[in-house]
Parts: sequence; C-alpha cells; structure tokens
Amino acid sequence: MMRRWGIGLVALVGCGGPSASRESLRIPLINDPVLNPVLAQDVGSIMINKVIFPGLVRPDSLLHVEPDLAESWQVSPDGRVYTFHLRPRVRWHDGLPFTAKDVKFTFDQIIDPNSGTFLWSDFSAIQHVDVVDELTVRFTLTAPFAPFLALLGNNAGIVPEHLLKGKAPREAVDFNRFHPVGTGPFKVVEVVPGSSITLVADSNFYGARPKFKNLVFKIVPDLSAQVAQLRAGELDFLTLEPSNLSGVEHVAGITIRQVPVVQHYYVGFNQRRALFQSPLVRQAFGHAIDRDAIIKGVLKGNGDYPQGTIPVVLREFYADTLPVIHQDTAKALDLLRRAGWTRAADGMLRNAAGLPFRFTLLVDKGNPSREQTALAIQQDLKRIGMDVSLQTLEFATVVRDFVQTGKYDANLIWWNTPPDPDQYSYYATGQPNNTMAYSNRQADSLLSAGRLTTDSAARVNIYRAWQVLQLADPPVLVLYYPREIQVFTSTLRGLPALGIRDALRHAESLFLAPPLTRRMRRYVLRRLSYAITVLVVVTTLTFVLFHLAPGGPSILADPKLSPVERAAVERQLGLDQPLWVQYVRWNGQLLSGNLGRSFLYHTSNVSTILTRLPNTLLLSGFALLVSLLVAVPLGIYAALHPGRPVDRMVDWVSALGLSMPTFWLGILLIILFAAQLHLLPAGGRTTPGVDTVGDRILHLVLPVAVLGFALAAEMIRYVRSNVRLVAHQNYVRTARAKGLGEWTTLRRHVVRNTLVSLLTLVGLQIPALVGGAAVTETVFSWPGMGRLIVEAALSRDYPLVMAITLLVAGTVLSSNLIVDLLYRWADPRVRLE
Amino acid sequence: MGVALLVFLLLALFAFLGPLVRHVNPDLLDLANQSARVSWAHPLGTDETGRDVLARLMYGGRVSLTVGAAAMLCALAIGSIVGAASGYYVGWVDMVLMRVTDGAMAVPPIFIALTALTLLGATTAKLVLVIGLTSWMSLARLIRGEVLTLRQELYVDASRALGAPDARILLRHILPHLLPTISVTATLGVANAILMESALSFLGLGVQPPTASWGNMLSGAQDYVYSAPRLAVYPGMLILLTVLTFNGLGAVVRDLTDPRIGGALPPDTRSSPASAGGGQGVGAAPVLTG
Repeated sequence: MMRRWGIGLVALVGCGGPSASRESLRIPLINDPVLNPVLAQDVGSIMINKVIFPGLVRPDSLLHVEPDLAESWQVSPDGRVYTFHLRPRVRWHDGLPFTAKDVKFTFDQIIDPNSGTFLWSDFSAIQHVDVVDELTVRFTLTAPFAPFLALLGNNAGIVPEHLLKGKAPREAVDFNRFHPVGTGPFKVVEVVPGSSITLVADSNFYGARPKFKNLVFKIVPDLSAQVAQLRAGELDFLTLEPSNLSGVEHVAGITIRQVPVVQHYYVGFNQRRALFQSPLVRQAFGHAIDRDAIIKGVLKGNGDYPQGTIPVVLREFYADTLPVIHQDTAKALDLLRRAGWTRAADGMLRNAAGLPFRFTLLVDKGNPSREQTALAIQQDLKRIGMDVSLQTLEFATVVRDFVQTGKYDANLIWWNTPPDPDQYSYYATGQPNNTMAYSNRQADSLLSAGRLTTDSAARVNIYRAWQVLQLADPPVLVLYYPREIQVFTSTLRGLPALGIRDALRHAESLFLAPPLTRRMRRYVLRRLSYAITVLVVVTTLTFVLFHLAPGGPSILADPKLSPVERAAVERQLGLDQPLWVQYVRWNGQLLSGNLGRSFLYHTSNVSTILTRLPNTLLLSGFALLVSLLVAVPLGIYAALHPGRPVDRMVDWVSALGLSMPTFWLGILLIILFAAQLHLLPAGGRTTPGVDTVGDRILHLVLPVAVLGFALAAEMIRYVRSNVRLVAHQNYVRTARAKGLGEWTTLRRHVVRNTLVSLLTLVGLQIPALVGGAAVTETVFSWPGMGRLIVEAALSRDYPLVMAITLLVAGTVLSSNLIVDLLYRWADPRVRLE
Repeated sequence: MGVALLVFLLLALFAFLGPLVRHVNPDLLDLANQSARVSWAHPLGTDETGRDVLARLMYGGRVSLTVGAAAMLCALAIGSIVGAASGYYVGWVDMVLMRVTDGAMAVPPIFIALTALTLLGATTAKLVLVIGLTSWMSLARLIRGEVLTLRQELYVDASRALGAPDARILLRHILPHLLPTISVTATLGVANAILMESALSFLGLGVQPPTASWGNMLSGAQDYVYSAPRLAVYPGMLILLTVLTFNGLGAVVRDLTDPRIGGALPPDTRSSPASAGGGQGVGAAPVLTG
C-alpha cells in the first residue's frame, strides 16, 4: 500500500514539471468567464475576450489608438459620423467571412439597454449604426463624443451575427460558455468548467502569425495558489497585489515588473451628507492623509503619487506642472477651521453645534492593500480629531447596497477607465457613476466640453483646467495611481508594457525566448563581471599612463601659458587634487556617461566622437562587406581544390595582404589612380562643394580597397583552413558515403559549419569597425575615429584619447562577449566550462 | 622553405654587410643634387634632400631589422613571463595577470603606442619598448595554455615531489616544451614589429630623422609621391619582402619544431606558406594596425 502511494506521487510530480509547456502560454483566471464581450463584466471575462474577440481598433504601447479590424476611418467635420473601412479577408474562427454586418449586429446589441450588456453606458452616444457595404460601416452619434475611439479599442469586441442572430445575448449559452467564435489570434477548442479554457492559434488570423501554439486560461481562484503554480512552472503570467510580492521576489526564472494602468484609487465622500459638502473639508483630506506612507508602506512602491483624477499614464493629459499636495496636518486643520471645524478640548474635531466629525468608511473585504490603506486613513484622520469607523464588506455588497443607493458616508474604491481622460460619467452632476453626488458647474462644463471636441490640443487644455479645478474643489480624495504588478516566466517576450487587459490585445506577439539554462546564466554573469573587471583595468591603466607621464597632463596645456595661468588651468581641470581624488572623480564622471571635454576641440568628447563615428562605420563597414564577399567564396573554393591555381593564388595574394604595410598600399594606389590616371580622388570624404552620392562613393573606393584587402587576406586563410578542417570531419565523410550529392554535402555540412566560425572572425573585426583604421584613415584624410585618435594623441588631448580608448575597449569587450555567446549558441559542441 | 631562408640571408647581408662594403654616409645632405635619378654615384638616386637612397636603405634596414628583433625579444620576454607565471601559479596570480592581458588586448595596439610615444617622447629605445609592450599578449595566452597542461604532467609532479624549486621546474621541465610556440611567435613577431614600426613612422612617431628606417623613409616619401614615386617604392618593397620572409620563416619554423601543429590538416596545408596565418592561433602579423 505504502509503495503504491509512493509511485503515484512520483508520477504526479513528474507530470507537473515545467518542461511540458514549451508550446503553451498559461494564464490564470479566478472564475469561469463569460465568453462574449457584449456580456462580459468581470476582469477575467474581459481578459479572455480580448484574445478571442478583437475590436475595430486597439491601444498601442502608448495607449494611443491603432487599427485592428478596421484598417482606417474618417470622422465627419461635426464629429458625429465615424466611417470605418474594415480589413478585408478576415475570417471568423469557423471560417465564415467577417463583414460590416457583424459590426452593426454587435453594436445594435450594445446600444440596446435590454440586451443585458454592460457596455451600454460606454456607447450611449451611438444613435445608429449603418452598413454601407460589406467592408464599410458608419456610426452616427447623437453628439460629438471624443472618447469614442478609445472606447472602441477598450472592451468592444465584435461578435458574429451568423451565430447569435435572433437570440438575446444571454440566451446564447452554448456560445457564451463553451463555443465562442471570434476573429482573434487564438480560438477556443476546449472549455472544462471550473478548470480551464484551452485556445489554439488560429491559422486564419489576419495579423502576425501567433507564436504560441496554445493559450490556456486556468481557473485558479486563490492568489497564493496562483503564485505557487507560477513558481512550479505551471503558470506563465499573473498579476499580483503588493502583499503577495514576497512569494515571487528573488525567485530564479521569474520576472516582476510594474506597469502603470489607467486607474485611480480614491476615497469617495458622499456629498449628499452635509459633512462633506464644503470643498474646504474635501481639500483638508488631501493634507491630512499621508499618501506617501501608503504608497511606500502598503503598496511597496507599486503606485504613483496622485494629484487629481487623471492618472499619470495618460501622459499628455496629465497636468504634470501642478503643485503636488503632501501631508501637512497644520494646513488640514486650518482648512477645517475655515469650514467651521475646530479641535475641542478632548481633541475631537467639532463644529459650532459641538457635533463631532464622525463618519464610516466602507472598504471591500479580502484585499490586504485596500484594508491596510483604510486603516492608515483612519489613523491619519484620528490624529486630526476625526472619528472614523471602518466597515469591511464584500465588494458586491458595498456597491449594490451602499454605493449605488447613495446611503453611505465614504468609501475606498477605484475606477478602471478606458485610456481616455473623459470622466464625464464619473464626475459630472447627476451622472450614473457619480455615486458620491459631486456637483460643480464648472466641472460639468469642462467635462462635457472634453467629450465634444475631438481636437486633442484643445482637450489637453480642457483636462488641465479640470485638474486645476480639482485643487479647489476635489470631487474625491485620490489616493494613488496603482501600477499593475505583473509577474511572469522570465523567458516570456513580446509583452507590451501595458496593463494585462490591453496587453492581451497583442496576444499574437507573445512568445518564450529560448531559456537560459542556469549554467548559461552563470556563464553569462561570469563573463560579464569579467568584462567589467577588464574595463576597469583599462580605465585605470589609461589614467595612470597619463598622470604618471613626465610632466603629467598639465604639459598638455598651451606651453605659452605663464605659471599662474597654468595653475589656473590645472585647478579648473582638477589637476591640483591628489591623484586618487582625480581618479575617483573621473570614474564618477564615466559612470554618469560623461566622457569629459576635449582640450583640442573644446566640445564634449561624446559629441566629437559621434561626428566621427559614422564616417568610420561607413568605411569599415564597406571594407568588411567587401572582404567577406571576396574571402568566403574564394576561401571555400580554394579549400575544396587544394593545390589548384585558385588555391595557389590565395596563398600568395593573402601573404601579400598580410605583409604589406597598409599605408604603402594606400600610397601606391593614390599614385596610380589619383596621380597618374586621375580616375579617383586621393582622399577626403567628399569633394568640397560637391555633395552627391556618386562623389561619396568615389571617395570610398580607395580606402575601402586598402582596408578590405588587408581584412580579406586574413579572413580568406581563416575560411580556407576551417573549411579544410570541416571537410575532413567524419560527418562529412558519412554524408558522402551515404550517397549525398557533392553539392548538397558541401552546402549542408561543410559551408554551414564553417559559417559558425566566421562569426568569430567578424567579431574580431568589430573593434576595427569602431576604432577605425588609424593609418588608412590618415593616408586618405578620412575624418574617422582612427584619424581622430591620431590627432588627439599627437596634440596630447588626453581627455579625448581616454574617451576613445574607453569606448573602443568597451566595444571590444562587449563584442567578444557577444561573439562568445553566439558561438556557444550556434555550436552545440562548444561546452560551457 | 628554402626561398624564405635565402631571402632572409640576402636581406641580412644587404643591411648588415652592405654598409661595410659601400662606404656612403646615409645622412649626408646634398642639396645641389635633390631627388636625382639613377647614376653611378647614386645607384638608386637620391631623396628629396639629396641623400643617397641605397645607403639609406641599407642603414634603414639595419635599424628596421634591429628594432624588429629587439621589440620581438621584448614582447617575448614579457609574454613568456606573464604566460608562464599565469599558467603555473594559477589562482589569483593568474586572475590578475590575465585581466591585465585582456585589458591590454582590448585596446588596439596602435592606440597604446601612439599615446605612449607622444607622452614619453619618441626615441628608438622607447619605440622598441612600446612595440614590445603592445604585442606580448597573444604569446602570453598561448604560453599560459600550454603551461596549464604541462604542469599536470607526471614528470612535473615528480620533480615537485623531489623538492625542486619552481624556477627549476619552469626552466628545466616546462620551458623546453614551449620552444616551438616561442620560436614561431618570435619569427612572426619580427614581421609584426617591422610593420608596426613603419606604421608609427608614418604617423611621425617611429625612428626619428635623420636616422633612417624603412618606415620613416616610406613616410617621408609620401610628400613626393607625385614628383618621385620611386622613393616610396623601394622601402615599401623591402618592408614587404622582409615581412613576407619572416611570415614564411614562421611557417618553416613551426613545421620544423612542432609535429603536433597541423596534424589534423591534410598534408597540403602544412608545407605551403599559407599556413602562417592558419587557424592555429599563432597568427600572422596583425593587419588591424592598418
């Protein structure tokens, strides 16, 4: 009996490992979703519907609208008519074509308040939707409505008419629960209630081909269970509350990131209550509560400090120049005093009638961050004499029995808004979502103006004015703009930096990078630390070289300077400090990306280098290209035909190339082509006054030839000896022996294996690409990096020499590192030691 | 093989015996006779200041070959000591020495040489030192690799067990095995140093005038490429010939001293001059200085 148990356990453990999941991406949901965007209400349903049912547009990585099912659109001048041109040849998951009729069908359901949709309020501005033709659909709005596009890209997925026609949305149970059909990158193939929904990539998908084969949504109601599954490799992505962070921090293979989302958390004060009617009182809360402490302590930093109701992620609409209000209890008490509340002898805040400032704060149960935030608020308010009691209830109860009925004092809650600054329905007088009965005439007109104009510059001004207004008459106390904490398998790629809901609109671009094994990671880390050490050695040696040279760097200054002037220069450069101080200071500069200023050019070294680098890259890039084009085919040919004329020629020509002083070759070519034949320019980058592509190419010919010859001479030998080595390997002999054609053997087994080693070769030339060829550039007066280092060294411009040296050394080290890694990746025989 | 040796002997005779046979002062200016063409008095003509080109080529050859050899010895000394110490003592000695080696390799040699010579002042002795200081790294790595293997050999263990001091083990038991590597690198090193000297001369930091070297003759000739192109041709040819010869000799030396190298290759690659730059890591003269 015992033994059996043991075996059973082993089998279980063995199956659950992370290795089985290469082709699927697994994301948790907390409950069974409704697979219909018209009806979806909870977060989980909304998430999965984003993958199955694309909308006409979608948010890009900056939350701006980009085309999705609609390729393009026009807005009429009065802002009331939107005409969308749909993407042609889109098919539903069942293979039928997607047309304008589906769009009309979807929105007819959405604007029908009796359909049971939760999107109705978003789209109440729609008057009617008309099919113009198969691929054109026109929306007519009752009034201009600026957030319209953002809302279309938010939750309004399109559903198929041919499957849902003639039924109330709620009645399509089979569609909504088991067999949804959308147009998205993944289609549902299996629903196991209470357990999972499996989707597969749809080969008909109109966008980029999905990279995952499967997408599995697993029902895991409990957050700690989700964390456990992520750690066990059974989930790939989840979002967390700050209180759960400790379970995933510092876990190998798990990445944590914070993404700002379009939400604001706030305390809503029911302004039907006399207590909260004075704007002064509502202002006072901003000064009374220590929101810094909440963000730091409760959210563990996963939030942004707020000012008004428009979160910082809405970038251009967030008024970042307004004063930010931090805790200042004296200020809070002053504001309350002006509103008629003073601290009585017992420390309580009382009004003229002696009544205490007393209210109940509602918060939903079960979320530690919100519960802790409520406690913090209670404590801060108690400190200024308010009597606040907390009431913790289920979220649904809070909303249904208190918030929507208007029978409450204050509540801690939040809004998830579409990526648009429109807040009319939350903060304009009498609107359904304005549950705390905030009313401000000016706010009403601003918020309604912001909806009516589609001119984005005008909207920026309007919403700025709205935020300014909130300083005087805050509708709510905004606590923070949360950042969504996303936790995922470290190899997951292609995830835009958006909240999970918006990110899932880009589900086709998600993929898993080939995993770095632990050994590989260790190797990379070791190599990296080692490259950094070497860089430190180089910087130190360079520094010491300059400062211990006879006379030190000060000899660099103009020799005509008087001793007094010289001392001034030295002081200015910090050369009068002890050596170690200079060294520390210099390293500090380097770390901040400052490579110093040139003595010679009186400009920052970075900008001097940047003007020269492109020239060198051009010259060396072409030379590398030319040499590869010559060396690879010739090298292969020579290797396969040993002793034949081409092989002999390669011998001698490359021996010449390796033995010839490059500048001499340059001079000879100048004599021949410039001085005698007058065919090509002798030097420079362009003919002064002439700036044509042809002229530039002519100037490149000779230097590229010289440099390319030298490079090719080295490469061709490398290619040839490598091909020869490979050609005598057993696997090549096997390929031949099994009757593979000579050409195929060559291509598949010889050339391909040689190309791997070519990587090393190209990597070796990268320093030359950046460092430039000092001599060649000098011969041809080519204004590149090589010439620059010569000029800098000869004129003793030591900051510039150090900057170039560092840059080149950095490039060499990083290219070595990259080549090593690529080599290990490309050649499985190379073992990591 | 024979060709390389023969040319080498001819070059040596030209540079070292030539001046003894033909007594012409290479530094004597003859301003009445500038850039003269070929004559009995001046078999290769005169240069821009009327100096005898043949004499300058001979004396310049002495300087270039000497600088090349001396710089090579310098590099050899540094490279062998660093490599042997690094491979033999492993641990932190290895760590430090190899990081310094990598650091030196991360900066193109011409950068170091240019900077050092500008700061220190360009004299022939310093030139030798600087070229040596910029070209010891690959040798150090090769030697280290070999010593790492050799130190685990039984005979090394045995002599250590018998109480032999490190110096004796290194000199008696390890050094002999390093000779093939060292001699190949040394031969190629001369070629490298000559190229480096000429490149530095071209940039004005090589052997300083009036002393002739092939490098500074070549760089001096650059100003007269249009009026007297031959001035650039002679020293250039000699440098080319010398470097070719030393690269060729390197291959010869390798084939003579080390039966292991090239063993994996088919016979045709082994004896051809092409193997000088082959994939064995010994490497020919670096072209990146160009």
